[in-house]
Amino acid sequence: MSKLGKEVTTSISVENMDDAFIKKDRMRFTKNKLSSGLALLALVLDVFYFISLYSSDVGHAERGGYYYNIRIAVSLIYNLLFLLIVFLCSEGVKNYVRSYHYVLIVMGLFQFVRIFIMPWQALHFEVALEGGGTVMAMDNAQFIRVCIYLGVSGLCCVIAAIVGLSKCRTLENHQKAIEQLAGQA
Amino acid sequence: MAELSLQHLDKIYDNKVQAVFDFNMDVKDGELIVLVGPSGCGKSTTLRMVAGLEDISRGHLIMDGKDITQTPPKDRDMAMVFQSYALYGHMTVYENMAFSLTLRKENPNVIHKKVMAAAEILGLVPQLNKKPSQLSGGQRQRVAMGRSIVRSPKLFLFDEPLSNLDAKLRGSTRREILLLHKRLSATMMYVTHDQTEALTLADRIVCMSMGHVQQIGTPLELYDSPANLFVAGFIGLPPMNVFDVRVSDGKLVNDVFSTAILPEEKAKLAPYEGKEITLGVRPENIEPHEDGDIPMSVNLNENLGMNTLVHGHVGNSSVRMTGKFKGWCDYKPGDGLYVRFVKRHFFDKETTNAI
Repeated sequence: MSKLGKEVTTSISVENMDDAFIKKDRMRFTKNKLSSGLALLALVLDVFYFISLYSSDVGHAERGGYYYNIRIAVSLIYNLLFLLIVFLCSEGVKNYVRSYHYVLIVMGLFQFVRIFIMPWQALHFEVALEGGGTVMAMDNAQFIRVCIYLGVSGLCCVIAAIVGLSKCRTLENHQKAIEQLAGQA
Repeated sequence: MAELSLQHLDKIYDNKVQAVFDFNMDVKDGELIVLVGPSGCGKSTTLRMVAGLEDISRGHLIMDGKDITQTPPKDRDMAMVFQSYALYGHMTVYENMAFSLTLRKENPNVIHKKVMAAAEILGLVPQLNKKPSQLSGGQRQRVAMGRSIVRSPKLFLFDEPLSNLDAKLRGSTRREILLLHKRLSATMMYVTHDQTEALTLADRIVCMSMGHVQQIGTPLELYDSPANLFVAGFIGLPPMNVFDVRVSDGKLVNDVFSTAILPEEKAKLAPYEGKEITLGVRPENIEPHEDGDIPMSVNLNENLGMNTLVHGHVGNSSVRMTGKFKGWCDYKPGDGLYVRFVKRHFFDKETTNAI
């Protein structure tokens, strides 16, 4: 695997190679910026989700607010972990390290699962107001908004990982091919 | 590749200090020109004027028949390698080398071909994925050269590229630059204050002092026929020995020695009969000899392996003399010997020009 900071052990002349070969050979020295960029976009969208989620909190008759319980702590910690892990993954996929791609897929899929945890429950929860009456903890517009944030964020992670894995495979095959070429030479 | 003509170049700074005086030179296609001289002699300023990094106060710069005196640096199609490498620390070697072409929005495949070809020439392929901080000084300088090569410029400019390297690395990188020049047949201008670099690299050397060109010629011309006392002293290590002598009745005479004028020297010294001149002798042109007519008292004996540097004085005077004798010698301080001068140079005492 070609990786930043590592010595390139195989050298071949690309002067007479076709464009497809050169395109693959470039991968030995260039980073996977597409996957890395998508992972960072997922990270940004997650931040938007987090900001958006608590923006509509309403006064609760007994608790002072719908989100004021242990779940907000769990949500906060998970968000921090998500930011950290996805950032690490963005660096990993940038350098074609396979293991980070699998982590990124898991993180991406869990973004979809998260839609059904806090947003889904908030959408169906009626909050009793202090002055009397009730209101939904999350209205439809906000639900759609956070779903888009989480969904696109998860999609970015998954696409980044799939693109990255595909590139990893291409690069590995190319490495084998040039090792054979170098061996023949 | 390119031909370059520097015509009457002057550099006068805003504070009226003139750094370069009437620099004239024609650089031929594929030639490696070395500008050499002590610090502050104007060699780097001249190079920067060629690169367009300094305005030319007077004169013209012509490249391939086109006047580029007022052309901005980016349009001159020249590449410059600096002493400090000027690499981007956050980029890999590959990215550093590809950077200028990426800015030009060249086809990535073309960029890849050029970078790989340059890396192959410079032996940098194993380092392509490393960052500059992971490389040695010599490797960093090679990356800087590679960055120039990929651009395929008309003219390469080197501003003391080896000054940051240790002695061993300087030697090997110098050989690489020479091989590179042979391989690319590129026109190059190279600035250094190291006369060894100048002698080993140059097709022609421009020796400068105080903003003035002292001599332009091949390394052998500068070494064998220095135009004046400055060039004679600057080129050659250890420097040339100089003695004040008087031309008198077929002899060169001073207070401590007297030596005959050789038949082939008579004609050129004839106008100086009875006058004082400066006699110059390179250390390697001094030989210990039983019949020698110059007495020498030894101060210090330095064995270099194949040669021995013997430092001392002429007779009992305070006139210093250094000889580079063949083989391994073992003189002790205070030893006396007689030497003879195998080859001599003569300089006018007033003008310091060669006779």
